[in-house]
Amino acid sequence: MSETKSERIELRVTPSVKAMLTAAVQARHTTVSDFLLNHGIEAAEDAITPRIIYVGEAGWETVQKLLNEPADIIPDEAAVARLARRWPKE
Amino acid sequence: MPGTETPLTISPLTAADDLSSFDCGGPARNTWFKSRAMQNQQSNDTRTYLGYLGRSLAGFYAVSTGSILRRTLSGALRRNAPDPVSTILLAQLAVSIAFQGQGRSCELIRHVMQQTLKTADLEGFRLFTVYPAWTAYYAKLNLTPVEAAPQLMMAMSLQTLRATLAAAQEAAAAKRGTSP
Repeated sequence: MSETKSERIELRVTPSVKAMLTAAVQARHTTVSDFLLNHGIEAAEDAITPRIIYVGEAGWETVQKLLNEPADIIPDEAAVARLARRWPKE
Repeated sequence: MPGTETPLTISPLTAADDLSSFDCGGPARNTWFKSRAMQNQQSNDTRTYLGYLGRSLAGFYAVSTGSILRRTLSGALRRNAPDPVSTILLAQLAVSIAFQGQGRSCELIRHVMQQTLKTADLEGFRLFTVYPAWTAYYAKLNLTPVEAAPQLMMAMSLQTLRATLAAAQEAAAAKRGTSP
């Protein structure tokens, strides 16, 4: 399960950014590397598998239309056929 | 040796599963699967399910819960906006290169749809969402494209999902009844 840390990421920053990060990690009792890494991984996770999706007016309207579909809607034939294939035996 | 009409056996990812040789041809999905899926399983961020055919790992999907929020043109959240819409999110889906072109992804999607129906009533989910969506593919399953930022999402209401699955089950039973 555990991988070796064989890769390197180096960063160039301005003195003020470094000072800010140093102050932040002192407050959190951690290191700059761990701090950046943990926050970076969290942000990456959120970019790859987002939990919140933002929609504009048009998107919101479509969502509302979907939510208001009747329960006795006629399902799409092609979709039904695709999903019926290899239906496991009960 | 299972035949091409043998259904996948689909179950949750556990520490005992060996993911190391999985290859779906997509580097990003391969990496996520091998390096993040198990950690997310433990933290409950996403739930990953594996589809096996015999002893071969044919594919996987990962699902989470999410919220859809409305945003104005300026990018700010709208004031007095109605509650966010709770949704089941299909976040990852991949089929191993060796099993592509057989309609295996539809089996994985059927499974996530069935799981969605099981939990939806209890937890108040009203939508099934794929994000980010691969439009051409999900259109074939009759999901509706929804403009979202930064990528398009595709969605199906729970009532349509229920009707579609019920019809599919009926079709499968009818086919089984007529074949020897």
